[in-house]
Amino acid sequence: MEALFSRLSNDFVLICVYLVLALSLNLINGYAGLFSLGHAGFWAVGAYCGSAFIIYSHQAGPGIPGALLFCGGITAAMGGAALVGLIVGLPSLRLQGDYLAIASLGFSLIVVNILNNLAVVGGASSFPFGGLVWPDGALYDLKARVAHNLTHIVLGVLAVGTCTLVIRNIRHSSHGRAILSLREDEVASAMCGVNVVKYKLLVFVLGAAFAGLAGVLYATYTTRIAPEAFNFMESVKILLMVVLGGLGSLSGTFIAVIVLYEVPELLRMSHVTIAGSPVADWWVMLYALVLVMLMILRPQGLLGSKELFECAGIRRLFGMAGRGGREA
Amino acid sequence: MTLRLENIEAGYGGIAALRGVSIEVRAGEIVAILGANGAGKSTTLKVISGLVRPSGGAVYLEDRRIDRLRPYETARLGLVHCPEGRRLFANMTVLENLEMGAYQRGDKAGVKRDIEKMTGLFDVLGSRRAQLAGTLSGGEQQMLALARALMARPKVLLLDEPSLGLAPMLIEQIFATIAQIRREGVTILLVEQNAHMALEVADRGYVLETGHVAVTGDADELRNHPAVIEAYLGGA
Ligand SMILES: Nc1ncnc2c1ncn2[C@@H]1O[C@H](COP(=O)(O)OP(=O)(O)OP(=O)(O)O)[C@@H](O)[C@H]1O
Ligand SMILES: [Mg+2]
Repeated sequence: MEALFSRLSNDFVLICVYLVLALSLNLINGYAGLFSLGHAGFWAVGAYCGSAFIIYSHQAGPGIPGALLFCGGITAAMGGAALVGLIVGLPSLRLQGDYLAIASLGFSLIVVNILNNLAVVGGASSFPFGGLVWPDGALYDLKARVAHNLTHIVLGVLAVGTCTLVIRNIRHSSHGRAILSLREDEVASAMCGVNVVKYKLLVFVLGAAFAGLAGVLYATYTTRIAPEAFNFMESVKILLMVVLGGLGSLSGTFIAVIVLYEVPELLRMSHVTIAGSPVADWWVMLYALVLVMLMILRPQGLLGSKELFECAGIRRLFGMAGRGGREA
Repeated sequence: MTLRLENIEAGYGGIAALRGVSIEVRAGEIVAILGANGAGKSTTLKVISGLVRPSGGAVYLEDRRIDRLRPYETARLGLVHCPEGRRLFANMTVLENLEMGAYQRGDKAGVKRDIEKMTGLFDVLGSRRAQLAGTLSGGEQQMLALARALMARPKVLLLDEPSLGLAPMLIEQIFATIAQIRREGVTILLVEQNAHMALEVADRGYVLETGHVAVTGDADELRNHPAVIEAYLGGA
């Protein structure tokens, strides 16, 4: 029972973390058409800024309540990630073309490298919260652990909810239309009066800030972060979640994140072996195969740029009238 | 608004495309730019809207110098460029393209009225509001590009070959629309291969030849100019 709760809450919180990451990358990549290969870098910046704030504030003033520390941690994480986003984006977004892909890739590699050598945050080994958990108590104490998990489930839901709402509101404003037009034709957007560089920076910095939020959530949940957790493959994983779900589709992102997170977990638990090795080891190959198939059969991702409730099949299911016209 | 180009020089990476072009478009005029392929007509429009930065000379809108402004800034001054090759937002609907045209306008009610006006003006667009712009036929796309430009309520309109690829009936309609826009007070600079139609609707014209103005004059003069007749009006 405890084991089940622990496993389910663990999956739930981590899915929330990946959702915030994938939704914010969808804003950058799916809506604005900016190809970022370094989202895990901003995740790392958020995780370390948030952790450093919480741990060092706690050391400075042991009496500060956990909730206050956490709020400060969120601010530090989102602010730090946004600032770094500005620094990475400012030179690379002024140029047209795929400079951003190169710059963001380089950035994410550099971040892991710096963190590996930064002693104040633990260097290559982990940067643990020590006995510090919120709500107060030791992790090994069962009741405290349940409270810790429940708190993070709530925080995860809040983070995903905020991220979804912010992106949805942007999408349905005149800013959203301008952002979508960047993906289509930057020059034409500029000729319509859109300040292209400003919008690209805005989207990139906002996306980075949300990745920072995912970072602090991840850090306080696991209470032990290490640079290796934010390596380049994580950026690729987040990107795959976005592409699989459909560039520009939020509900598609939800489905893709859950599937891409749960399938390897279930495989790992199944203990089935193929040709002598556990099925989980085959997952990486299967994964690649599924993606190749998808790109051939459905290059626009599961839902294209539509939302779930816009798809004809779903509408029929719920007896809604079709809006028609728009084909993905 | 008056638009003035003084001795504009521009090029692409060392290759000169314009060598000292001076053009004036007075308020409320239609001025045509004619010329062979590669003469520098599109480049002239790109310099005005800020897509290409000139290496010499100056561009004035009224008394304001605008040749250092970026494209979105010139667009906000009411200088709207309807570019060569349409450049629509292919994966956005006809309606969204029209709304993008009106991006810099604040008057929601006016925008709504203008969308009705555009779909009335070009009736094929009306029935296709929800269709993706990229799936329209070439001619329909051309009309949408013009309609999108008009949605900005331009003070000065730069048109790059608006009749390209259209059936004769539609060419008539496009030029009738251009004349109509001018009557509403818009200043128009028109680049055209269809010299016949262009000189019919224009007040004055310039003929570009490899980056400089070869001939200029009233539309009537140009129509009867031997060089123009030979090169652009089919030697008739
Ligand atoms: N992006 C570019 N890069 C390099 N050279 C260019 C570029 N755009 C135009 N040119 C060159 O500049 C010159 C003028 O081109 P421009 O497009 O202004 O011609 P045009 O008069 O509009 O011709 P057309 O009637 O074929 O549209 C040409 O020699 C062309 O090759
Ligand atoms: Mg041209």
